Amino acid sequence: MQPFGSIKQFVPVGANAIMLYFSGSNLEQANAACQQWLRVFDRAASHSERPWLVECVPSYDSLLIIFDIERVDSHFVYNTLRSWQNGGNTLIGPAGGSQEGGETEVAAGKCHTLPVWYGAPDANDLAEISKKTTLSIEDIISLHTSVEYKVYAVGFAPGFGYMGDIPIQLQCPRLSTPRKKVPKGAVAIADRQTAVYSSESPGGWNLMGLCPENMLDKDNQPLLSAGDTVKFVSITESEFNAYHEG
Amino acid sequence: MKVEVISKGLFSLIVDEGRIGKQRQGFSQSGPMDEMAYHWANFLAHNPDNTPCLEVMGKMTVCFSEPTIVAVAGRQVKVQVNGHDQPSYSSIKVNKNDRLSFESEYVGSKAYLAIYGKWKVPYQVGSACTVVRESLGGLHGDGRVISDSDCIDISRCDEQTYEAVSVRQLPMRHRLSMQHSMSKKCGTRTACDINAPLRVIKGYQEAHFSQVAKRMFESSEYTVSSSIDRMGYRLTGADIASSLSTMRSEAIHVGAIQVPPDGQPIIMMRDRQTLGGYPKLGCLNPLDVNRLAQRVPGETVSFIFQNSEEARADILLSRQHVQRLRGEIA
Repeated sequence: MQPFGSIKQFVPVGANAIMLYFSGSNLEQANAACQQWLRVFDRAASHSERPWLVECVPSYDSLLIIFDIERVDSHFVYNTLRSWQNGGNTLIGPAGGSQEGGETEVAAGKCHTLPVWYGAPDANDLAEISKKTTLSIEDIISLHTSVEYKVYAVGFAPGFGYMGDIPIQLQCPRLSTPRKKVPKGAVAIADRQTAVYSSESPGGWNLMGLCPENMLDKDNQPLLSAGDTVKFVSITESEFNAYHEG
Repeated sequence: MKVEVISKGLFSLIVDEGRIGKQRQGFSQSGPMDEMAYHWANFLAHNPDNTPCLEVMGKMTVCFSEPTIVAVAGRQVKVQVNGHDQPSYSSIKVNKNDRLSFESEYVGSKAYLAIYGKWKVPYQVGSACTVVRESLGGLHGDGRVISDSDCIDISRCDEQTYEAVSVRQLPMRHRLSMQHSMSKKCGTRTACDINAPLRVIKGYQEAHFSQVAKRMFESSEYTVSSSIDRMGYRLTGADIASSLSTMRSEAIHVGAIQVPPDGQPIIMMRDRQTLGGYPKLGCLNPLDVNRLAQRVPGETVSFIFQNSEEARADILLSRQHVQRLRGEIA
């Protein structure tokens, strides 16, 4: 299966799935191409009467396509993608063209502002992060709040959004031994990524504080979707407590 | 009607076909560990597909407040009503206050109890399936597994239905041999038994595993470790580490053979996390995920590579066979 357009590789995954990997001059572009193709699939699924598409699972620069093996095989899926691309599907961009430098149509994601009580005692590795990065705690907080992050993928746990990239000065490795329990709402960094733990879970990221917003609503709908943007703002302990009371 | 759990066994939970289309939000696929047994249990209890069932490890005892129809399926399951043996893989008509006990002969294997009727249990994110880690499903909708003296509320089986429905029974030879195979090692048989090699379709980061590692993987036996749960089955045996050290997290398909740096494969099962960053050699044929799910610590498994065309043929053949059997039994 020859690659085309922004798809740099087709890789088999079991009997009833294939993986698409996307190209781009940087991760953000590859991720945008992934989002674009995901929308193409979603539209196809909603239009087709007998869908052969079971599920799509996007990540940073890859998209898993699970198909109904009784109806189709991986060659059918490949040929369908080709025909979408060649048919000038408006969501995909110029047929056969490279996405690099081109204008790709990207649906605007939502913008979220998430408050963080930095240094909350239940989730505070700031001293560790300071050691790893040689930055002062004030600088760590001001760097973390200085950037608008992109949600690259949602996964690992329900509503857990992988966001990036954090400023390079903040880059720091995971804990050598993961914690058994990270509290719900913990705001964390690892490598060039940042995230908010959507529920209490094990985890190996460096914790910076607590976010009072729920990452899942009462109906288990995640707050964040891939393609959204997030900005963190610093709040005080009393503002954090007021958030819960309010 | 109430079904009271007198004894929950070792680990028991409510399952249905699981959550489809929600992995992009981070929800596990979930679903029964042995789909084949789950589907038979529901069919034999005269339930439509996707009705909840109890997935049970160890010995469970339940008591019924009204007459109804039940069925138990799984690996070598022993079934008793009020102390008298009953067939597994068969419709069983139970009476008011009857006590049903069942367990697999293999500690760690899963038995499925299907009970006729509409289960009045919470549905979350499109499914009644319990996922402990995600606090979803279960009787209280908070991911709790079944405990002693829990009561499950199920619509009652009216007298007419109870009298009229046929007793469905799956012949012995079809119980654990539903997995047809076109693969060479199984080719002389029409079906694979539980000990036949697990079929693997190479894929994912396959190119980063050496020829030697792949040959080792196919020619050696692996032992099912005690680290097996609904997320994954950790095996021990020949080291097949890949040359990849880091990679970006990507979607993990059911049955994926994940190989962390220690070289010991982990087969990813129904409650696996949706994304992960360890290299993967390929995936089990989906039929064989069911077979692996019934293996217990200390047993050995082996693998055989097949291409995706063979896998597709196996799956289509198996589904046809199941359809035909359902027609014959009904």
